[in-house]
Amino acid sequence: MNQVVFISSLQNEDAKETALQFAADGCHVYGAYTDGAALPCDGLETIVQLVLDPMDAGSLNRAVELVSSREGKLDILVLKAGLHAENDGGLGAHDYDAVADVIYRGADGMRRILEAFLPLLRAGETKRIAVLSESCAGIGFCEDTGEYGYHMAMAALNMMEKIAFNALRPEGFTFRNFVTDGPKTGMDAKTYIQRDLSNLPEDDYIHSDENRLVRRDSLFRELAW
Amino acid sequence: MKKTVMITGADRGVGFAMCRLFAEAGWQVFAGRFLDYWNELDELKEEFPETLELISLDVSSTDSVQKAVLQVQEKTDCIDMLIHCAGIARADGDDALRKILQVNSVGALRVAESFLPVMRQGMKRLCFVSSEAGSITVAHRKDGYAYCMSKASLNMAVKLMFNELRPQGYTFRLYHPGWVNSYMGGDQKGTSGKYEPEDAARTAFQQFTEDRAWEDALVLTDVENQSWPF
Repeated sequence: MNQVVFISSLQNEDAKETALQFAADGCHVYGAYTDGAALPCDGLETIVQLVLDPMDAGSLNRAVELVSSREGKLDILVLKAGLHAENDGGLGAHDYDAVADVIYRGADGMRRILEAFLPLLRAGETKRIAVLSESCAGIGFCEDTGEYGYHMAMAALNMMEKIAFNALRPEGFTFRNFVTDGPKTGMDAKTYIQRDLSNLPEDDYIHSDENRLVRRDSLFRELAW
Repeated sequence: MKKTVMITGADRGVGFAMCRLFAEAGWQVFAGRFLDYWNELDELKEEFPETLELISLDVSSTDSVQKAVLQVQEKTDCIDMLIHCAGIARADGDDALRKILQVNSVGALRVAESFLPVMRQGMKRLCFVSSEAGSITVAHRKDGYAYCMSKASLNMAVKLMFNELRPQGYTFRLYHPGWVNSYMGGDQKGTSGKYEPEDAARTAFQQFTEDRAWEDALVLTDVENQSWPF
């Protein structure tokens, strides 16, 4: 049976590529632009595209209703902190409201999408929530000196996913955090997100990879938070 | 010559306790004051009239922070150490996270960038009060998204600053004060914490003032001198 997949932040190239991977696999894919971009975008005819303002309850309700009316369920939700602030370089003088807005919309916006789609995810068979991330989203890993808003949003989104993991894993939800800027070999995002991890329900994380949240790249390498 | 420290969130709790410790140690202390109605700083000022300066400061307002810098510059041309202790655990409204970010993490960036011009000489140390709530690795909470997300984003902001400023000789501290009987919930001091503000401030003072052989590593350390993963 075809899986139903909803991907946020379709304006982001990694999100777009991941959406196309799922569509090529026969999934029913819905992709949401969260930056107010106009529709449609060429080359994405296999994806149902929509504009979504995650901070607006009406916009969220319309997106959920669209998927609900057509599919009646959602199997996989893919989230991405896909916004950047302008002139967000190294230290100097930032537009702090713009930085706050990128974190707020990029991270809390994804939490709102997750909460809005929870009933549909509960109706699905897979119950999987994934975050598309980058190696520089790991605080210990990051060597960058700019893009405060984007980096801070990615860190906040990772934390959001961890709390959601803590809350929803006992209910049967599974979680993925995939680093997209690893080597262009190995698994693509779709493959990593779709595959099951070792899971012994009676055991804790020591023998059950599903019972912990990790971030990995295309070579299945674990990266620090 | 006296060393100088600027402390945000100095009205009460850990920030206030640090003001007292630094003043007692002979530092010139600039205490960022947000709550005009809270008089602990006034009483401390009476004890240390020469070395404690009260600076009006709302770290969520760029205008307020810039005015604070000007006020400090009237007294000194060098801040040796900046301590961002201001923090809130919750806010009202649908945009609660945005309000919390403006204090806890974007506020830290705003304060650091604004005070950097007066930190180019001297000790060049930037200290930030974070929390275990910002550690993704060990996060155990099932709710309280906003506070945890704000502290994770603070840790990232500090890492970005560290990456740029460490090669210029700046040093950093990222500190988890533990579960403190503080005022994070409002004007009523907490009672169920494990530590008093003075306990958390004492360890902070030690960690913030001592040099490390491992300054090239940014590590979240706590009130028990233990280290936390991000």
